[in-house]
Amino acid sequence: METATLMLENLVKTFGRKKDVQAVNGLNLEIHQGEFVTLLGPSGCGKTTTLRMIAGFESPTSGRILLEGKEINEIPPNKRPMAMVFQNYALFPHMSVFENIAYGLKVKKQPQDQIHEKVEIVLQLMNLVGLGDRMPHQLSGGQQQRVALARALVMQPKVLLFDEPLSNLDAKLRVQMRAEIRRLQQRLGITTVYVTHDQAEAMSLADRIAVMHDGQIEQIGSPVEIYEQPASLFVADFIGKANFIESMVEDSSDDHISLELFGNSLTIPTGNHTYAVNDRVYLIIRPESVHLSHKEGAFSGEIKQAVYLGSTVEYEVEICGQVISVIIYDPQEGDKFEEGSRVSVEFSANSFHTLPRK
Amino acid sequence: MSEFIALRLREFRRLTQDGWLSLGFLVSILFLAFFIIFPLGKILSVSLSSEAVPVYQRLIAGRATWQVILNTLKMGLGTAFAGTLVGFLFAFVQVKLDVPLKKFFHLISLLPIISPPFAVSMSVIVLFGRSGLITKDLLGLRYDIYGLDGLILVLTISFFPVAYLTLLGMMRALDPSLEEAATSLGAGKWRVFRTVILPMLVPGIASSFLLLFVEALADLANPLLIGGNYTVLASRIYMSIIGEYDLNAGAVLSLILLVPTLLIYFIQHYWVSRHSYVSITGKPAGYSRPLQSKWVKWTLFTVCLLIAALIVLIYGFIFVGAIVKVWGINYELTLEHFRFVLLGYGSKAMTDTTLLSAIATPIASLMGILIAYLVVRRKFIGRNLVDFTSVLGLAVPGTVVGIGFILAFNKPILGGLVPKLTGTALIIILAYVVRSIPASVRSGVAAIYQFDPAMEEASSSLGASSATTFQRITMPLVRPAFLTGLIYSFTRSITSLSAIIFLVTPQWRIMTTQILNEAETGRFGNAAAYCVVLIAIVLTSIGLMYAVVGSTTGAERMIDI
Repeated sequence: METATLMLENLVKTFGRKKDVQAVNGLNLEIHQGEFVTLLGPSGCGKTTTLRMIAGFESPTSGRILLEGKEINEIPPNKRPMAMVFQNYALFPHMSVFENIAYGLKVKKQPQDQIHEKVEIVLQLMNLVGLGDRMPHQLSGGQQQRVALARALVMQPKVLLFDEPLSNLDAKLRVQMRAEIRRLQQRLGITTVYVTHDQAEAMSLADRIAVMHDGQIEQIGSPVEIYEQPASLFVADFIGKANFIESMVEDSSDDHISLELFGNSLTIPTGNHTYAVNDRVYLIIRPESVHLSHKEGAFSGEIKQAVYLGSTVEYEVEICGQVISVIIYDPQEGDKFEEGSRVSVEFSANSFHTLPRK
Repeated sequence: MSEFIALRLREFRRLTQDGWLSLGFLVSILFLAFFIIFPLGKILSVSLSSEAVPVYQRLIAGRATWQVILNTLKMGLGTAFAGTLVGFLFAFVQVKLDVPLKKFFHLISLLPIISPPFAVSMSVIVLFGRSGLITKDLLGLRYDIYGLDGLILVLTISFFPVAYLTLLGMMRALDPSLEEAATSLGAGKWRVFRTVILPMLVPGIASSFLLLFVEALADLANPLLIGGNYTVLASRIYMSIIGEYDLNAGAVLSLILLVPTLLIYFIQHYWVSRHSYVSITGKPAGYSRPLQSKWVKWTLFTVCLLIAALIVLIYGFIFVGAIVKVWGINYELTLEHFRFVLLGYGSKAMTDTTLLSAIATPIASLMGILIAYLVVRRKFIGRNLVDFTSVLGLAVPGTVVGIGFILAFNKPILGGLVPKLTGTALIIILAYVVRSIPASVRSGVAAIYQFDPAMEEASSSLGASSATTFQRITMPLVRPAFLTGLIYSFTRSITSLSAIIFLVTPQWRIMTTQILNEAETGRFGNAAAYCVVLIAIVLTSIGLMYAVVGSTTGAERMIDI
């Protein structure tokens, strides 16, 4: 069996005078050699605190952090073979680009010629050739970001940590840097933990996403798993948009269940949960899995709102008193629907997903 | 509970893992405990012991005591009121008026900060005293400057810069869009001033008022020279120690002075600053349209100009005093006073004072930065106590520090581990450091708050120890604050009188006490020459420190705030 490079066991962190603020609340996570894991969640979910505990800037109230099987709780940050890239880059303003990148190597007292060689290599790797003598304030945001990354990479850390590194860049640059980070991580094979609140960033970067909520991991899995089989209402709602339709189980067999849907009956594969007859469930369907047409269909609804966004149109459709969000791609191709008009609504049965309802 | 202890122990262990930095923390904390807490505790224990009971009986019975307290209050309130008013005027002219000479006004307002004690008093006496150049010779008046009116005049000139700098920072930080908002809602200029600007400045005004009150109460030099028969607490303490050799009475009076001073200081420090609407460290928030009304503008300008002219006259006249035969009577030019100070009796005072101040300065600045770093960046139990103690050295009047030092260190302590310190140069250096640390701490705290802790974390994440991080990252980033600390410490030390007046011995001559000797015996010429030399030393040292430590970035903050 593959051993985890980094393991978090029952990690707890409380803040406040009375220790009453639970930032991280019994978190377990295994990160494998060379894996890219993002911690994704809304602000206040404990993702940054978790990262800072891994880095050593916060010490856990309880629980253990293991690196290659050895507990590192008491090891100070400067003795951990990790490097962190910070949200505001934290470049040293009184040092040139070269000195910033060389800083960690100098601290390690590596010989001068080796330092030079290594810095040159990362300058090349990060497309920073020729900028070594610049001061940080003379660089663009994207360049500063690259210097921050170079400064971490040059240390050849066992684990690379990112704390929302792209949040200060504009949208286009962010997408570009995203690709660059992924490419580098793949090439160098460094185990990586990446904190973000941006789901597109998480999806595009990570091998696995850990969705965090209230100091715990709500679900961990590949981007596909997280999106297509959300384990909780929170995950379904936080990752992308989702419609939640209250329903009840009418019949249940080994591999299929039948449910009530707006007065009709719907049979779908069982999925991850087993249900008995009369169990209350949520039917979850993504807006892009709902289709609208002028033809007669199983369900009829009224367009309450239509928002034209160019590449898509977002509709709010009311069916049997419930409002469903619908996204239609490529509006130039298909029909457009006026607010107030009646449409027929179709769902692809395979796109439905269920969660138990209390 | 055991978890609590374990956590504290862990915090403490982290503090000890920082190499030489830990040593610095330890030394700083011990210093605060030993040279601030211990002497003050000694004053408390002496003034509350049974030996002090007769002193209280005598004080309460004597009507003079109540008169002294009343005098002190009157002086404090008068100075606070006048000083805040002048400070406000200068700041207002600086920020809100489009008039010439603004740079000149600014520099004039800073002059009293670096001026030695007595300088203003002496000059004022010769100018406006009973046989004053202006009062008697020019106007033919027989005016007695000694007493409350003279004191308030002199103290106002000496301390209004405190109010000026506080209010200047605040006015510059005021967001002009608020003013514009009020105007666009239909308010006239005067109404905007009354209902928007003034209320926002209330914390600054209150803060200036309280600080000036405390400064006036703590001042010793001016009451000694220009107070005449008007005795205040500080001069009363001086008399009981120097005249009556009564340490118990000194301790009791110190307590009486200490309680209101500390109270007001901490009201100012914790309450007023918390109720501030504007942050003083902020950059200028934008362009504020200068006041248009010609009548208001030129009236304020004229008042400002007159006050500035008075200050120039007073300081210029000190220089005159230093180069004439008998200041106020015989204006024949002479170099004998300068010869006395530079080559004669005074030369030892000059070198001694400069030497002792120069030793104290880096110690105070370095410890100030270390304490600031400890207070801002480290978590440990007692952090607030360290913060509190570090500002005590400034909050406590100098005379009280001096008496505390005598009481604490006039015999060997800790079983002889620390020898008797009174009478040595060391105790003077220590007093200088105690007085200088608070300003260093505060400028350090402000500077450290201003940069992102991620910078230090980045260094740590790249493998640097705390000590390396402090040396390579923190220190370079707080260098302007460090320079401010250096300049302030040196100026403060070399011009300080009240804290060391009870500590000096004949082996070590201190310029400020020499000035007092000369002035008290009527040799104003020598005293004026001392003042001029002292100012020259301060200015030269500031220049030197700029050259050695300084970069232009932010280093002018001391001058420019």
